[in-house]
Amino acid sequence: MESLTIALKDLRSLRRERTIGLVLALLLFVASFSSLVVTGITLLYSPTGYANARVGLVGNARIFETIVHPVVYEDLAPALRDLTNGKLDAVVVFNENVSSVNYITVYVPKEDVKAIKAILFLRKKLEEYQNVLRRIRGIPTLRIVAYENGRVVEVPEGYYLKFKFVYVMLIPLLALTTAVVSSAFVIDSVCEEFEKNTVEVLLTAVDLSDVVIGKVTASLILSTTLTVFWMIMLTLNGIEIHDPLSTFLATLSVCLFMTSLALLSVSYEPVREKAQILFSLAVISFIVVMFSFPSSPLGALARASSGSNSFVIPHLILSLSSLILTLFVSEKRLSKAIGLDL
Amino acid sequence: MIITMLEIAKLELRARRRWRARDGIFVVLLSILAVTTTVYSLSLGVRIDRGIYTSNLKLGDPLFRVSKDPDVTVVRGGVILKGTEKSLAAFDELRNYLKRVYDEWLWQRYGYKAFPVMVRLVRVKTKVSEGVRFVKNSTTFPKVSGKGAVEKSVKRESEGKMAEIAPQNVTGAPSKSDFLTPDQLRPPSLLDKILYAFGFVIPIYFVVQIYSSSTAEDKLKRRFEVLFTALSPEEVLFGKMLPYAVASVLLSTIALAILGKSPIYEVYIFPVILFLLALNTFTAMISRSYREMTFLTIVISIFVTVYLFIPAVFSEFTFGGVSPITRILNGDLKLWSYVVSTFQFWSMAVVLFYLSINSNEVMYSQRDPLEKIVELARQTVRDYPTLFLAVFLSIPFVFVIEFFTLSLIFMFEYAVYVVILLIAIVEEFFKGLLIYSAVRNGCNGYVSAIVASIGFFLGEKAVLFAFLPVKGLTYLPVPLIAHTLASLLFVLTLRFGFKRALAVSSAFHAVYDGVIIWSLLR
Repeated sequence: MESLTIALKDLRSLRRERTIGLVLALLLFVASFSSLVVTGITLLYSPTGYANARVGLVGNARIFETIVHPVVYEDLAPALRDLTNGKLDAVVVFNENVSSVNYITVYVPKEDVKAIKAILFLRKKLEEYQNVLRRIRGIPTLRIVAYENGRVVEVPEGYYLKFKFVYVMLIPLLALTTAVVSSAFVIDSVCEEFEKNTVEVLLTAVDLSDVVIGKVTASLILSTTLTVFWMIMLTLNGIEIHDPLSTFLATLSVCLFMTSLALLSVSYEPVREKAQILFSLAVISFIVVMFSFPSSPLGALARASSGSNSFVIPHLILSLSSLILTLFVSEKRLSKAIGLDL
Repeated sequence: MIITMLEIAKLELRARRRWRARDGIFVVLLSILAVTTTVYSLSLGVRIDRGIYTSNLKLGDPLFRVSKDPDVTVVRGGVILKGTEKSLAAFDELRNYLKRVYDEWLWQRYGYKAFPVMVRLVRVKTKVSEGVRFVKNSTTFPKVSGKGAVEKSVKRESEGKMAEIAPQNVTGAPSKSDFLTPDQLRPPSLLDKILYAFGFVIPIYFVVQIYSSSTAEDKLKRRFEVLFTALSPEEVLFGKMLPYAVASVLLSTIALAILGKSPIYEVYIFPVILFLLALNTFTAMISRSYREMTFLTIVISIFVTVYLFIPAVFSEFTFGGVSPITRILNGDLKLWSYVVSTFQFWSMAVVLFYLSINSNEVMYSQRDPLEKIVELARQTVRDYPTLFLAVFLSIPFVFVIEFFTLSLIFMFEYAVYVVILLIAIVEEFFKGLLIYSAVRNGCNGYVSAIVASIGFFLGEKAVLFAFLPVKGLTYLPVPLIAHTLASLLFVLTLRFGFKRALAVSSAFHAVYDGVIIWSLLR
């Protein structure tokens, strides 16, 4: 009960300082900025984006010409001039050979956005060209047809990029932002009590465990609020969260792990400067490892939010256990710190 | 003054001695762990997408797992989709996987004969006047098994032909390993640039974090109060940040060297370092608690990071030039480029330093940070020249905030109207705040409105000319009149309170901007 009182006191100060508004604005910004990136990706990789790429050909390639309809040049120099002046999107250099390997040099713009357009177009056309040459040589070609409700559907290349950006980048990043904010909250609120010596006043009324649990409870209430907020924002933004409960629990699991790291940093020494640095360094390792292992809470989050697998209970149990263990360790360490100070 | 600053810097370094040897060992160990795990994880790549799709069959692709209600159902003669976004994405990935498997099968069965097309990419810098430079970029494109043997079949005469037609200034002769099958062609990943650019800035963030903690502690323990009675705030604050500025410059120079960039590019990073130090000093001065400061710092740092990196991703667009990181990545050392991408950091650093130095009166007040900013503005704007200068110098802040406001434009159907309104509010807020400060210091409201409008207009146009060279001055008086009218409206309605006056002037400004955009699009 005392823990809850301490948690509510911290949350009230957060509301009074109006800092919570800033974090909500940040999450709103991340969600809206993602719309911009998603729109950019969609435009960039959509077939209409690269359908009208203009290609120059230097060399003799009759079959290729029937597929790509290039502008034919006698020499490379004028073709490259047109490429650098923006009249062409790519220049293809080779002499067609139906019976052996065609080694093709393709000049594309160095600038990434222009290069994407040219490369996507040429990949599609060169695959078509390869299939024609394979058929001439009597080699079977691969044709993969997609059906939906009994009808053939065309799925453009690169369609998966938008989906992956949302569920493999954006949602994990929102969860990490939430976890970092709530962990920093634990470090600050514990360190402030120690550095202002208010912890001694608190300890006249409650136990140290109540103080620490209170701080962690406040942090978890904060992360819960932020998670619900960005989940609602994403839904309003047209991004479907397939399993909201599991998504929420997976995010909570990420937050619990990070809060454990924050508590460990604080219990090393309740001095903000040191705790923040140790936490930041530890968090780098934690984040990169989580992105690399599918079995991590971030992997579970990606799968839960995309509706592939909603089994997040093991992550929740593990993260809760780590927090309980850390609470136990931090109480020992912090009481030692107070003993030394007194 | 310099000697005092050096003394303070020495004191600051001495204060760091409370970091015991054990602390240092922990930091070093955690740093080694961070570097090792980062390198290891980069070698593995992002793998949280494993099992993100479902299929009816067990596939060799780790992205897929078996499910009773699959995203893709593989049947003889095709693939059945569910009609959802996820199902379409799953099919796209499945198609890529099947192509890879099929190519391997073809290679085993037919060898070279099955790969009649091999492609080599050469990246050419476009739209350059000093001649065409060619940069080969073969590392971006991954290779799949079975290809090595195909590469070995590259014929000598073919290379000879290539050498004949390739221009002299292509770097190096075409190598066998440069050739790929068409489906191996991958467009460049825009996100790689961000990861690369992070290397410049991450070390600075750590140093600035220590500085910010130290400044917050000095404030919390009221050390500034004592120091400011004996020394000037400039001496204390500049002296305090000196070791951190030096450490940031050293670390970022090392990072540049590691990432293969000349140390000369430090000129682009230095204003960012100054800005981050100034920003953290200012947030420490106006925050009421560690929590408030951390929240402000996290939020602002993320915004600054986005401002630095997102334009760098889209470096070929005009707006890409706003970030100094774009210039470093592009190897651009032209004076004009430098001015365009660093002026906002220089000027914001100067303004934030100035406000931090003069924040003595508000430092310990329990008012919220916004009220403290209003009070600082009142202290700063005392007459018409300071009003003009303050409005002029507020432009970089307005510019940066408006950059983020634009990100809302794709969020929902009528977001453009919200963006127009927000831009109007941001501009009128800055103008209004400074006019309000001048009026509170006894300046005439209407004269202040005209002075502020001229200052804002000139600053705004200077920024616009830097990014969008406008030929001719035909339409210049129109926005000047609009700014002046909005500010006069603000002064006229100020008697009803700041917020109401801001609402009226912003509404007028938004309508004006809306009409201009509508007439341009018509």
